[in-house]
Amino acid sequence: MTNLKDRILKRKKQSMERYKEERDAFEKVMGTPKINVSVELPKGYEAQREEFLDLEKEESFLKDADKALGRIVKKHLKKAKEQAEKEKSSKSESKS
Amino acid sequence: MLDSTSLIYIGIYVLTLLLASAEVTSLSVAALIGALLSTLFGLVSGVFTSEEVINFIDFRVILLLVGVMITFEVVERSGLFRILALYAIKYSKGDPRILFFSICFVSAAVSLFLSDVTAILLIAAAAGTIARIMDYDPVPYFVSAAIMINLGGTSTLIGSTSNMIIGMASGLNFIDFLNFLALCEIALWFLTSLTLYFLYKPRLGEKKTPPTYDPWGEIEDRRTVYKAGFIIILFLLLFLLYEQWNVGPEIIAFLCAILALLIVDVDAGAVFRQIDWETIFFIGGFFIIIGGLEKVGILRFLSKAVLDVAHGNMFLTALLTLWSSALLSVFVSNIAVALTYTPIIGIMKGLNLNMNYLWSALVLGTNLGGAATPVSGAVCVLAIGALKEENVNLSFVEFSKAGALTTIVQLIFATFYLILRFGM
Repeated sequence: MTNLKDRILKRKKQSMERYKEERDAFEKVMGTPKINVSVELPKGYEAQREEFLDLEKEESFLKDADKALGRIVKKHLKKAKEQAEKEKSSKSESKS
Repeated sequence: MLDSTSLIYIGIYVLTLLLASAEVTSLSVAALIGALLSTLFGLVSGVFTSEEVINFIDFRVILLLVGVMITFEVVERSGLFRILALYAIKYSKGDPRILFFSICFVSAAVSLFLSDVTAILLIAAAAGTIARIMDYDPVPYFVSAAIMINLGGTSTLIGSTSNMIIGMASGLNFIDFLNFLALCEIALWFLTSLTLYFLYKPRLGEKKTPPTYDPWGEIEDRRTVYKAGFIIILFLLLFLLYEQWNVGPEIIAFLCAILALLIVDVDAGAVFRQIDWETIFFIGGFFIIIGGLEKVGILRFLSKAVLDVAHGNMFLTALLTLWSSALLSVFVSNIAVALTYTPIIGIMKGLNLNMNYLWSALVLGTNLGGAATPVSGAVCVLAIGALKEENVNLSFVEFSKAGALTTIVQLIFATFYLILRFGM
């Protein structure tokens, strides 16, 4: 029975891709929003192409990247907020 | 007594069903193998000519199916059904009981228009997301959605592929379907969702604070959604009226498909790529296999056998049709069952039988048998696949407990409904 289940599910791979797309669309509205950032192999490290690609699955790398990106995102969001507030106050000043 | 030619055709038919049911190959490839064998043998032995083979395929069914697929693929891409699912979740206000019934009813409603496969992917994605956010067990929602999607659309000509096949063969129009079966379907929505509720009540979880969101949040252009809504209304109106203009439902479906592509701003190429060609090739191939069976007289033989078993009694014939077609649909695709039964029932025309009674029994049988086990229909196996994506491993046996229970409840109710609607 498990064999049959696996065989059928294997055939439905394309449908499962569509399921993931739909789930992402719902997640965007109901859940925590996400953005994707892609990272290129840095210059001078061309010889380590394989190792670079493997990083995508490496837990310790993902943890470090998440931490570092979290810090960068917060920094930029804070900056954007300050900028917006500055613009708002300068507008109200020019009106008065 | 059956001759050797008939036995070969029965062999081809059984081989096709075995290949498809055992997942040795896909449904469409199994049907194409069967069609090829049937054609080769028919031509070599002189049972039929190559022109006759082409005529075995009812292209009106194919046109209707493609028209409906295109129309609702366009509507689906607008985000209209996603908004509907988001509202259903929003108004459950974190109460798992309300959420459960909302998902059940939205599943059935959405599948009135969308194909079962598209509907389950949409509803499972919605249910999976909210279950993860609220930390609910996703199994009750996924399994119930699959069972309700299978049920939804039983009373409409376009509600399922088997309905389209039966509708085109019987001549029943959109209004006839509603007239004979709408009441039964609505009652089954309540009965099935209540059965599932009592089955899954302990697993639904507790009331929690729901996420706050705007269902229209991710819609870039609201006009696209309004246009899609207009297409649905137009589609329903035209389907209610088409008989007065002396055109078939396939023409209306195609007209709506073209209008949808024209009015709603979508990529036509992407829409065409989403057409379920597997089902279309399966139907085309199976039409040829059934044509061969009909040509050598097996279907007439089976039709006579059904009448003999039922002693020509109307109620018994309907009962036999309902339960046997449902039982067969549990194990093989209900499209194959519909394609096999329609000529068998069609032969009974002119025998002083109430044909509407028999067609209604067949519609109920082919639809209700489609979610008893995961192998009964694609919708069930996709629900299990989607659960796997959520890291939940649901066994075939566990699914079958809910599927078999609801199928038996539905069939018992359908039997009483047929007696009340058409008499004994």
